[in-house]
Amino acid sequence: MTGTSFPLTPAQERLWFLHQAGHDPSGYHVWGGHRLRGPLDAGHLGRVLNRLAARHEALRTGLADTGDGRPIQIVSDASEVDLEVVEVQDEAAAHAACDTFVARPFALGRAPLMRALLLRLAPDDHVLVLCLHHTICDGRSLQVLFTELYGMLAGTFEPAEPAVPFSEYVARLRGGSRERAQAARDYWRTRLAGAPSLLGLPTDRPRPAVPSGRGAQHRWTLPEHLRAGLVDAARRTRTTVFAMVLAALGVTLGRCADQDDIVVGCPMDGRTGRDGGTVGMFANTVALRLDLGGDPAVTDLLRQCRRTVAEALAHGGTPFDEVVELAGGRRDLSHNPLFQVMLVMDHLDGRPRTAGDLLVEHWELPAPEARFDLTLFVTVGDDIELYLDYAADLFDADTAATLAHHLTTALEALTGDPSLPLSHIPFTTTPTETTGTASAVPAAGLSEAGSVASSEVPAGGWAGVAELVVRQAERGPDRVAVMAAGERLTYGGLVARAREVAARLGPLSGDPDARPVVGVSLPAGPDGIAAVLGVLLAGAAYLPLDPGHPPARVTHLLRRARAVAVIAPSGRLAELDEFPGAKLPVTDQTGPSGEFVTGRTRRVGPGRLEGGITGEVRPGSADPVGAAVRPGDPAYVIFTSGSTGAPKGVVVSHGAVAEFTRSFADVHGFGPEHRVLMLPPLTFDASVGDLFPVLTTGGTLVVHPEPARLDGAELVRFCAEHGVTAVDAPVALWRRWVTDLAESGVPESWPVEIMMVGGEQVPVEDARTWQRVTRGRCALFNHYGPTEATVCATVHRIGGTDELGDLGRVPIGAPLPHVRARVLDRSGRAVPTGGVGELHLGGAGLADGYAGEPALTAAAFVPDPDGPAGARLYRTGDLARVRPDGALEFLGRRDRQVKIRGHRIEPAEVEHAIMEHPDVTDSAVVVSGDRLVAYAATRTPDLTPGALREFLRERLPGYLVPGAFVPVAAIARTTHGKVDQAALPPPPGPAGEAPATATESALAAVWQRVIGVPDVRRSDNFFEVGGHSLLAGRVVAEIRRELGADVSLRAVLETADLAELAAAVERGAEREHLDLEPLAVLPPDLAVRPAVPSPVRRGSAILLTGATGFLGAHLIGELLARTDAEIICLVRAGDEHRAGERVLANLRAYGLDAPPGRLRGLPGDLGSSRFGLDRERFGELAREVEVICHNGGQVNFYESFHRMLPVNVGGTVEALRLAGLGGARLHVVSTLGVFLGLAHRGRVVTEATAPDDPAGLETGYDQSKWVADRLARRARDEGLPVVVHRPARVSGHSATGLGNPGDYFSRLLATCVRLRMVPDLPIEEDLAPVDHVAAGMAHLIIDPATAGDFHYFNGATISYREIAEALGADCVPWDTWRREAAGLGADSPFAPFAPVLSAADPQFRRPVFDCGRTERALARAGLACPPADGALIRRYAGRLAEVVHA
Amino acid sequence: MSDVLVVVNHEEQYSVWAAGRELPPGWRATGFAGTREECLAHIETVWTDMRPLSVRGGG
Repeated sequence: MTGTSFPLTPAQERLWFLHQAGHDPSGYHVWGGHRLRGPLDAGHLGRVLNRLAARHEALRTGLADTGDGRPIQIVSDASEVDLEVVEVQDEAAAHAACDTFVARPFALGRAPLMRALLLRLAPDDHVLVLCLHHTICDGRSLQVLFTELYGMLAGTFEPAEPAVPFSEYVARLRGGSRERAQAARDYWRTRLAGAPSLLGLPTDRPRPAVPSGRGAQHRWTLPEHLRAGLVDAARRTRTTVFAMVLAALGVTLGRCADQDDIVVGCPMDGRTGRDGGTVGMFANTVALRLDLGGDPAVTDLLRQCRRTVAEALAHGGTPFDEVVELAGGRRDLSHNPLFQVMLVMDHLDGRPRTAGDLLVEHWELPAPEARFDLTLFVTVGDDIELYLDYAADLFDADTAATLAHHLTTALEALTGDPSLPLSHIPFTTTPTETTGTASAVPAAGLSEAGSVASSEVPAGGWAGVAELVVRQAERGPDRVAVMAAGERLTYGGLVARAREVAARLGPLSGDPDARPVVGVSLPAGPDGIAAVLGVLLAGAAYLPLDPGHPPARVTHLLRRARAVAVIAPSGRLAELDEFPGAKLPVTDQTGPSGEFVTGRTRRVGPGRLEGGITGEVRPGSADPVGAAVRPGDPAYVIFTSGSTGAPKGVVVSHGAVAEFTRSFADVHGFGPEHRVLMLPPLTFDASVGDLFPVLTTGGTLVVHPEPARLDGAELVRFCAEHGVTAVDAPVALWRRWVTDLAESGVPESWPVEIMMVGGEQVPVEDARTWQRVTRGRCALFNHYGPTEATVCATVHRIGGTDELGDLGRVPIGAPLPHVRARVLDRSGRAVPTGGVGELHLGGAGLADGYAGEPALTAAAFVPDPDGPAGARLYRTGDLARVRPDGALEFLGRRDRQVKIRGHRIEPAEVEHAIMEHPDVTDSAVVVSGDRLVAYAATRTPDLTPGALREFLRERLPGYLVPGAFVPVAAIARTTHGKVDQAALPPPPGPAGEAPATATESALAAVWQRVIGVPDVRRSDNFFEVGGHSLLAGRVVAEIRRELGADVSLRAVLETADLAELAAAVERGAEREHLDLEPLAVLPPDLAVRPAVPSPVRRGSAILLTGATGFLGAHLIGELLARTDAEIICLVRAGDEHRAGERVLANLRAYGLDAPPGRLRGLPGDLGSSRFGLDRERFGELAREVEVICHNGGQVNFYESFHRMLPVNVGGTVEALRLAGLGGARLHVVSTLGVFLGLAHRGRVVTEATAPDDPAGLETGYDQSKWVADRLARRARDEGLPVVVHRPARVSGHSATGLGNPGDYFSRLLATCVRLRMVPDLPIEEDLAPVDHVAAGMAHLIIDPATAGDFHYFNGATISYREIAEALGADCVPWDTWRREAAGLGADSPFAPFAPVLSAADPQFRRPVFDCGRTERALARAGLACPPADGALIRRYAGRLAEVVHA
Repeated sequence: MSDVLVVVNHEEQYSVWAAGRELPPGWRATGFAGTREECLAHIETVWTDMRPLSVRGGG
């Protein structure tokens, strides 16, 4: 390559590093294309493309490594654009060809980094696609290219001069004033200080650890009046349409994310007027930060947007990567840094509609990867068209459409009254679709979110729930109300017992209107239920108390609730001596009557609350004390522990309980036929959800004697035995059942048809498993509701056979009919549909407040801004959103959200993910300083912090992966299930250990050098010590050079600290999960059956690639000896002469030579299109050669697959192309390494075995060779004459002992000689001497009848003990040998391999090779492979010693 | 900063409301204004019978 060279711009450098690191090789391609109707001359098109390359410097530019990890760009004088012309059958084939075309990687060293594809659908119907690498091209460049290209095609554009060169821009950037650059940096640092790292816009699905890049688009056009309005308003307010769109986008995002601080990205074109028509990478990204705080008016926001844009442009010279560092945010692979929403404005020049006689039409090309969460493209032409590209990982089409709708609303508002406060923008706040789709229950007809529910009074006057239970008893006294161990309590019996309780309580207050509180300290069994009912019948409110709680606490609660009496077993009552009120004893059913205990104020008669199983109801007998309750009277007081810790007594009225009871029973269709398994204790208001809905509808409550023992198997058994139809359980317990039953499922006849769960989020996967486990016959009801809104406020039903699709979270559903649900932002305004806000609940189910806590009540129960007069709403503290289908979704606790390094984090989300680990039984995540600390309860001692981290890294975005993990035996929880934070062990201190292992030290040295920090500790994070993505690329390069290890850029970016990166390096790590099969696709333009046989007489030359290699040299020797043919050797060199010299020099190095005139050097490059030859020369070569021996490739133990792809696969493609073009016979030298995958392990491989399954191939070399091998065989299937040769380990010459001193075995042997030690490895080495392999191949190559595959594995192998014997060396354990070898230091022959050798014995798993076919074929020619024996080893060792000591 | 009002509804249930925001129907300002904390402290002293007005008895 000749010509000028100059450095890269920072933006180019970043892309170059990403490419070098093998990161997403085709992710940085830029492409465009059209369908062209009309006559088109491909030859003319090719010439026009070459003229474009001549005109634009960037199209003659390649990027090269200068050796120190910094690239330069080199401009050639000329470059020829590769135009592939392919005939395709139909549009589908054309689309498929486009997909492959734009995905094929570029070799960045070789100009032009542009290629063209012309698909011919018909003689006058083509598709033209240009694909360029982003390092030399941006969006604007594509427009320039197509405009010029079509102009030249049409003859209307005939440029006299080249375009302004891209190098001018580079010079301009470098020549800019330092002060200005510093001022710009200062600007960004100040401007972006404290900016949020991640926009809080709610997503439909949780953010994956690494985005897939899948995207989709929502497209709409603004109505004409709005277009005109925008243009007009922009003029009137002296701003721009861009600023107006930015304002609309900002306010929409702000309102939907409930966030005042919004950052949006925007591409900036670095072109000036002068280079406006230049192709090149001029784009930079700027971050536009808006402050929506204080509810500004439209005009204020517009002014702010205008100023923000102007400032960003003025400081646009700072590369975006630098801006990210200046802003100080932490990078995270799960999202774009600084902003996740991009705004792109395009004033449409419009694509040319014609090019001479050609019609230029739209052609749908593959969508580029979604690099941002959202990208809004706005094109302003005759219409204003908007395209919202959204990441399909995160958003559904409905959500994108809702956002688009909001954007239009915002744009409308911005064109109107300039003084309008942003809070008054009339965003749609009701669901876009109303009832039906998300309705939890088909039967009950739930009201739409936000609507007011009626609370009509049923006919016959108002009745409280206790009265309704009495009516059930009157209707069917013998029906079973409660089923417990050994006891069936009938409705009659229940009511009788309840009345007895009521009677014993007696008049509790002198005031008939007073509604005193009575404590009930009993488990949820027949007695407890009867006691609760009795208290209510007495006209009092019940206060459930935990029978297991300390007496002091119970006494405290009784006092707090101002209880006048307490019902408990006598033993318990005796402990409550501090309580001054009346004490009503209850005996155990089996025991004798308990004695009564005194109360200070009054005596209550002794007694056993006996109802008798057949107890009878006396119809008409008035309840003893109970004055008829009114809806406003309190029914119960339940204490909940708030986040602050102090328990609060929630007072719930009879009206609320009655409303709830009716809604809840309707929703689940409860009736006399239902048997409901009740698990919650009376102290949890979930018990209210079982008690009244079941007992007021005549159903049966089933009580399990030991809820704690209820695992999956017991659930199945118990429910089957008792005919349970519905189960109410906390989510955590239900999840245990899901796990327990995942394998076995439930029996065919299992009676449970309703599973009600609540208390925490329901994982979608568990819901799916539940459907499967219960054979689609059990509906899952997700309940949501705080105690303050009476048990349950919203419900979502998942039918047994409902299709869950890619549902991201199980919704909490729709409000029950008596409930109002509103999602409000921080200032109490309704949030736009789909936006996040705090869930507020109202309606007839609201509690009165907190007993004795006026201030807490006033703070939590607030005026309803748009409900009925005087109505209140309860602030739940839960974040939620309304989905486009109207269902509510729970998004976390507002008070648990923490902000760490700009990310809003919900610890529960992390806990959830930890719990998915099979060995974890419980987890708690807390914040310590600026990091998350995860506690994981496990019974497995093997569960290490590292393993947990790995586990989470696959499931969570990086910012959610805790900084420290602490395995614990158990996590202490309060009775309400909340983590007892005080009981957690203290988090581990930030460790500051020095690097411990050799790899860690080496990595630390690399970091110190590249990042420029004096000291690196084991626990240091790459970014925290000053690393950034540009430097990450350099770190990868340095690790490769220093340690010979290949780590991915991702490993550097994603590992938490130095120690983890070292572990990744040591593991050899980063075996990328490559899908190789789709890469083995023959290029569409490969002529496998030449349509017209070449009229030119083909020459008799042999083309050899890889001529400067070890095997290559010996192949030349054999081919020279066995033929008269001229041997053309393709090698990298400046010219033919130098090419020939390189080949000769290599021959001589192995003691070989060539007579004059027999060898011809051909300068070229395997990794380039047409071997880097121009079209004409390539065509000539095709006609010239009779046989091609493609032996060249890149051999490297560590190199990544992507880096080997251009040479090892690209080179094979070119060889196939050449063979197809001229009809030459092709011999491809592959490797037996293609059989090292899982499919062949332990099996016999013969020449007839096809290596069709690449799974388990471990090195980039084997992977790339597999793709090449597959391509070669595919071409053969298509009719091309291809022979595949697969050697194994090719060793030194059998006679001279001269080998390739650089290969693994030679280095190992040389080290053994130096150490006088041989590792004792349980492996038999196969060594096929090069002279034998080369002779065999040459023999087969020159025989035109050769076909099929040939393998060169020397079956006569040698063991390490035999090697030791031959060398007279000691046989020592591998680890000893490895350490001794390392002790030789840097000049050890084995040094290049040292860093990746593990202490464990090396494993070489290979199939059993049976090379009978090859052996027989060669034996016929008198060729037999000499055995690998002691003599051979001594010969090699002798030669190596000479080399070493030379 | 007196940006919060003490408000009360027809059931004599107290709450707080941002000054300057239109008060929903059925609510009236008691006349007490202050910071949120001041308002809540005030409510602690004046809201002595927490039962809804409609069910309060003679006493």
